Amino acid sequence: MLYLTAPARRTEASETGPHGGGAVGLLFGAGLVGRRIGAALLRRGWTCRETTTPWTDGPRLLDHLRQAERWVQQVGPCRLDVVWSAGRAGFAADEEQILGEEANFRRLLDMVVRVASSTSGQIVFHLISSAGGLFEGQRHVAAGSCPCPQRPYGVLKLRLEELLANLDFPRPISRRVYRLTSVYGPSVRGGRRGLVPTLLHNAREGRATTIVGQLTTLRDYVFTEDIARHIADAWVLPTQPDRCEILASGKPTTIHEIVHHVHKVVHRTPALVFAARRDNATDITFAPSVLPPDWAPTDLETSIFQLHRNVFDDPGLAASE
Amino acid sequence: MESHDDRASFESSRPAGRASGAVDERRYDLGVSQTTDSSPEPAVPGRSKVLVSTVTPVYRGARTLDELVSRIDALRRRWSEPAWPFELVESIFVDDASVDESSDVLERLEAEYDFVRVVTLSRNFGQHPATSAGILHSSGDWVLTLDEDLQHRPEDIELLLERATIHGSDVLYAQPAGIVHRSWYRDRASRGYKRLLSLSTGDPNVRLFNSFRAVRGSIARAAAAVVGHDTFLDIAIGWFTQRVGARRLDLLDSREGGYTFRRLLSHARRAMISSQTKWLRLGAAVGIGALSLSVLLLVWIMVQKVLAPASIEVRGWTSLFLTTAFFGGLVACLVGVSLEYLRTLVLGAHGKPNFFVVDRSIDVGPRRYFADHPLDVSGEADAVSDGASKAD
Repeated sequence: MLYLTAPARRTEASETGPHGGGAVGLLFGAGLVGRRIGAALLRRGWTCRETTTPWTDGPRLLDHLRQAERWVQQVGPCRLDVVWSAGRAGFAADEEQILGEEANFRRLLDMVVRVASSTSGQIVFHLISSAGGLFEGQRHVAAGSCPCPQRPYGVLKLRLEELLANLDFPRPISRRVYRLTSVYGPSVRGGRRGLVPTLLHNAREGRATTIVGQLTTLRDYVFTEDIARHIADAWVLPTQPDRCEILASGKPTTIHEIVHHVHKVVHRTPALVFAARRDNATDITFAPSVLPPDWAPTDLETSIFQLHRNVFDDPGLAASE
Repeated sequence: MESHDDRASFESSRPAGRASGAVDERRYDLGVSQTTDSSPEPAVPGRSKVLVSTVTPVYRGARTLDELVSRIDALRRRWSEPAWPFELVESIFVDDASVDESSDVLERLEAEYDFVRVVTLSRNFGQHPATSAGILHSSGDWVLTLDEDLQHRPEDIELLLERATIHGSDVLYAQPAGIVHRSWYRDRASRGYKRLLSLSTGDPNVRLFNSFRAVRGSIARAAAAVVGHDTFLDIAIGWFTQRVGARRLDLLDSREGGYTFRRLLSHARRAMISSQTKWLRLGAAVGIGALSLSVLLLVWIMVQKVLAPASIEVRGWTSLFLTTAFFGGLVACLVGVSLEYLRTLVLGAHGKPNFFVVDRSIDVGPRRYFADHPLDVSGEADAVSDGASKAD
């Protein structure tokens, strides 16, 4: 978990609570996406303190959340941004993992309710959800498309969205839901590694990569840096009406295309092994019309080059963040 | 783990499930979740019909784009009939640094029609790169590429799709049924040019190449992904499939200028570079021939020298000739081998795959439909397709 504090010089009217305080943030889940959001805020001058969250230990987690609650109360009236980018459960998560994640989310919501009743600053809740989980098997997801989860992971994500949407807070808070498509970016130690970093790593080291799917499987890939920039931008903006956004590139991409880009970057042909799993080979694509107007994703080839440069050619750059 | 079973148990223990009814009860709009259970839309859209995308590179289309989009929209509406096996989900227009008011027209059309998507290139890259860019933004099971100038009638798309699915083709080109360029001379020159390219590249499908084509989506995207700056798109498509067909259609080039001699040369150059250029092996064959001949002659002369030395009237020239033939042949042979290596490297750099897996099961539905409701009843079309089959 990250405790984030806005720089004093940035306590503009837009960032402050009614009593003129600063802005703080609590980020739950410093993984593939969360860590990049933290890095984006650090670049904007925020300060950060990281703690290890005991996700699998209920009583300790409650203590952890109480500590966070006390910290917010000690800071005084200020704007509070809470981000839920946690969840180690991936597409193949089982029921136990999913129930555990939902229980943790409920604990967090309870904490936010308590904070809302005991403080007076603005509260913004950012929920990182999954467009892939909600719209699995749907192609050309457009304005009229309806979430239709095909597996427990997707059902969980929809459930979390509904919990947030329907929760009665003691006073109005701002809710923002970000539905992410297939995310790739610098991998986090101990965390899951996405397709692109795996291909880059294995191609460089001459190892084979197992593709669970087909080369022709269509997905929509988004770069973590774009997501982090977009969400970090939302942190310094005045609180806005509740929003639910699909953060996708709007460009369907085959695994074959990614493999070709990786080949161009690494100058080696990635060795591939295929695992026959038809349930993971469904296409999921999004129409550009569903993307937020202020969302500017980087094109795939550029971001793969950027990822490769940051991770392999200039490890110091990645570590510095 | 079988996810379907997991889902079933999860939903039975937790009533949340899809919870579409709950969507309407939300305190705020969750964005795209507008549809309720009463909607006639299928639970997973796109499963019941085969999806089709169109791709059109735009360079000078301000005058024709309105009509083109309007006719595609009419086609799209006609295809909404439940029994029709295809659905046109998107029309992608690639603005290849257009030189007229096409950009403004496209911007307006994108706002007017929800199926229109505009991809803007940073500079003029040419027709093939623009088509590749459009294909890479598509998601359809089939991708139809057609020109901006109405030379290719959108209404003919269904004829191409019918032919492709019935014959199990991965690529189906439109072939002109009559005069295309308003001039028999230019038509003949065009056909002769394609024949020449076919001969020089060793690719019999070259003569079928046409910018009005239906390509299986997975193959189109794979080819577009690997196609390089100097790669001929159709030749790259040929790296992924040999199931290439054609169908005669009425095509008319309404462009005033059309292709210049320079552009034809440029096309030929790219086709030669992209193809296997088997004629390069001719050098190696000539070298091996010269080398072998020189060795045979050497043996013959040695035998002659031993058995009948008096029969050799001119001395010195034979040795010179044999030496030249031997070393000339050796050099030509080594250059041929080097070119073979170079060809392998170049094709690898161009992205020619070792293998590619394709799923043609989506053709079953359309094939069944067209068996009961044939669109194409002309015998002439079959003649072209037969020719293409031989080319395979």
